[in-house]
Amino acid sequence: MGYIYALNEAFKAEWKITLGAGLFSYAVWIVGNVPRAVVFGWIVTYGHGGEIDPMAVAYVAVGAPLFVMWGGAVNRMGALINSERWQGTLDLDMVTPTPLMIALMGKALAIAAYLTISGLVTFVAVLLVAQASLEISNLPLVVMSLGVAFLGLVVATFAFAPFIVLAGGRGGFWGAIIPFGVVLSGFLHPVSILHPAVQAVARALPTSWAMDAVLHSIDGGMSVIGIFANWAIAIMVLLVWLLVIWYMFRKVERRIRVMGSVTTSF
Amino acid sequence: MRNLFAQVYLSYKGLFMWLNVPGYVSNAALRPILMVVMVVLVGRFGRNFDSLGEYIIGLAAYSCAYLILGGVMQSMYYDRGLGTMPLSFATTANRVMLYFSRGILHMPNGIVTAIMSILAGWLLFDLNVGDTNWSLLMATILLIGVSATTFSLFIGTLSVVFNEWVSLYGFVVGLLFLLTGAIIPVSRLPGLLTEFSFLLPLTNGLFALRGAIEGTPIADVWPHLLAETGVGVLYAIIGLITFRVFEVYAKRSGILEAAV
Repeated sequence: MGYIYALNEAFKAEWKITLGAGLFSYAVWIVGNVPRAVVFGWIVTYGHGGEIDPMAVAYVAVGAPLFVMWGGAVNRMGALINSERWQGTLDLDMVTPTPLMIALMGKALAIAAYLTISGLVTFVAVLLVAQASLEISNLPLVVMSLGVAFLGLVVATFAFAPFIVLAGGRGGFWGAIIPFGVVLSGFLHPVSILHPAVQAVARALPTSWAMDAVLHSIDGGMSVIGIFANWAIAIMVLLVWLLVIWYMFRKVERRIRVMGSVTTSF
Repeated sequence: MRNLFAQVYLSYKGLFMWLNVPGYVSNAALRPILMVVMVVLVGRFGRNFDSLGEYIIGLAAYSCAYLILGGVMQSMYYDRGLGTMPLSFATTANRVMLYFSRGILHMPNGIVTAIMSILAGWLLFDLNVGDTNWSLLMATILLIGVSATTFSLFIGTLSVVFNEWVSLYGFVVGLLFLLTGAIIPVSRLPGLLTEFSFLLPLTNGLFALRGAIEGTPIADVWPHLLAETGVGVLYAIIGLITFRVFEVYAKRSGILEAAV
């Protein structure tokens, strides 16, 4: 019960910080990554100069919001941990009985929640650019698959938190994580087009399974049972990730206690 | 000159937060390579096999601006946020020198990322560099680096004014990606956006950069190089004026410092 309370308070704290930055900052934050997603929508729609592939357009239209949310979430998570270190509040997190993982998970959920607005704006923008109607075989399955992918995105964002703390919260550490995650997650292209060796790595991410379910819900190329199986694997992989993250946070907390302080001066 | 070198070095070392091994390698080497991989994969998924080379060259220019903009914006923002800006404004230092010193050492970083992108395209995706006019290529990358730096100084000044850099950075690099012809040819942009794109850095330089990879002689692309130079000069002047206006306004209203 105490953990749920802590999770809720961390969630609310992150909301207040984000909204407290002002309307200009929030608005720019929401639309900031949309132009990049629009470019990817253009690539699959008009880039080849030939006939439009409705399946590719639909896939990128539903995947681009996740791409935008992923970029925003990793950036925000990195900046958040840096700020906590600089301002000394990470030290306070350490002296409370609440595990660091719970506090940061609440904040990761808040980040994902307010980035859904960004995702919706992206979805509309990509569709406007593509000027193509979505041809989707099974809409409820697509929505459910996107929900599973969203959970995978939250966990993947959160997974980098202990590494950022371990890296000393150094600025820019997460710069390459965003495109790396996009390539492996399957947000903008099916994982099946990757080199088999890279594909094997991608399969360790829950989003790659969830995005497969998205693909087959769009093209109708897989039975409902097959799509359920993809969700099940995605959720199992996600749970394994949570266990690993829990272990990593324990290591990080232990290390911080040995070091004595996590606060960094500029 | 000694003051200039001191300003260039100290502002870079003290205010560029990505200047550590994980941060620098991540942004200057890994990120441009992964961007190339990401865009080429989406291009393949969309069956754009003939355009992949153009995308890679576009990404080389974009990555150059991406890193310079990130470095300059955060340096200028932290100059205010960490309280060093009031000290700079209190000195009698030449303001032109003070302003441009914030960008000089970021320019080589952008050039490194452009080279990394082209290298990634060549090694991973068989980008044809056999006909490349190397001297033109290097000159164009350098010129794009300069125009991206003056543009970044201007946007960096805005980040000081708005007391915000991360969101503004994301938005501006998004616009550069969308409007400069890095991926979408400027001729395909709707309405007045085509004309507007030529007022942005990279747009003109990209014509020359693509020409350089195809082996075009400099005589055929010099108007683009001249235009890119003009855009760079334009932002240098606008940025400097904005910086001076901000200084006067900040001194009058006493808003020089802000918490990060």
